[in-house]
Amino acid sequence: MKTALVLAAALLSRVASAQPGATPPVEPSPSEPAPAEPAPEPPKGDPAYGQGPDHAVVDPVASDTPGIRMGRKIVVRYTPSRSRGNITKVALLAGSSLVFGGIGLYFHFDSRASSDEVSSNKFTGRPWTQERQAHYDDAHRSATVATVMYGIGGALLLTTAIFYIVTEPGQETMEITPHKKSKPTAMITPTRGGALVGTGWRF
Amino acid sequence: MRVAVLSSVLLAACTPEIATGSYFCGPDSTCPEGQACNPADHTCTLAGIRKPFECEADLDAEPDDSPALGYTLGILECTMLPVVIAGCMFIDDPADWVRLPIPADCGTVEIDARISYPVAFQQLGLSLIDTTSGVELATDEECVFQSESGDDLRCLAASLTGGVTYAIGVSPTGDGDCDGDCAFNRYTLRAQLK
Repeated sequence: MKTALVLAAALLSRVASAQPGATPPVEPSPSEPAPAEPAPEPPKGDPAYGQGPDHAVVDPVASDTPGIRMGRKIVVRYTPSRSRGNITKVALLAGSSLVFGGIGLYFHFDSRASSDEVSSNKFTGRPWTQERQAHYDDAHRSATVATVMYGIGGALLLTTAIFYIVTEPGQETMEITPHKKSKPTAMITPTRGGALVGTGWRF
Repeated sequence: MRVAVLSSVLLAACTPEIATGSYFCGPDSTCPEGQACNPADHTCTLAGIRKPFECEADLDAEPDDSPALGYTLGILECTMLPVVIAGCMFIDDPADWVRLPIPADCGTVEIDARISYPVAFQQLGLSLIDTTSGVELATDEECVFQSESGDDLRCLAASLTGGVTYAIGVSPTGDGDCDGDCAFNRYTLRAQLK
């Protein structure tokens, strides 16, 4: 866990003496701890720090602010998108069914054209020649091919629909547990002629 | 379900639908699948309603299997309207002959002879001979026009000399007889002097 200290805001202002009659603020010595580090517990009764603690830690748990509660799991429900591989498979299946259906349609029209050449429901006055027999055979052959192609295309279309439904991503749940030490800490550090206000948290 | 039914109907429409009696029989008595050639009228019908070959000739000239025995046409003129004879060629009938005595005062005349017969049964041919010498003068050829009614049409043309008796013979060529199963036919012979 990486630790970072972020100074969100700094305010330098004159702070009037909190209590009348108190000793004026003393200039901190150069050996005073850097403001970036957690402020040490001030010695009670030290006139340099005043009578009481001059910094406070704001605990979000203790506050009434809605949102993150430390130590409590956050449950997120979501539906993930289809993977690229899944989309590719669906597209390939659907495309294949279209291709087979298209081939079937071609042979369908071919068989219909040949069939129209010889189909008749009344006396034609013409003999049954080899040419008409060829049309007849072509019509049957193309109809058979069209049927097979339609069958394969239909099966692929059905497979596509089933595959699409079966592989649809379901709703997933993700739990997030906020880190216990991520509580933000507010600090107020007295400085000469004012105070330094900052906050820091771990994430 | 509805799509499946519609698809079946559309596919069914792709299969040829040929009503019985729609076509004349083809060469060697061929017919569409599920139908058979009816020898009685050489049309394609259901196999169960076929009738045997039957033929009614204009004249019963048998035996007319040789030029000498052929039926003699009556008084011919140098130019005349066509003479049309319906004849029958039954199984094992080698030929039918018709004799043509050309009047002596005609000089040279042209004869135009044609024969038409169903393509369903055995094919027939024409030949013209001089009965005196027995020489074959001409045989049939393909006509410049063709029949569209399921018949084959063959033509013969030759110059004839007055005072000579000729004979036109109709005989099977040996083709289209369904390996013997349809070695018969009916024909129409048309002859004209001009």
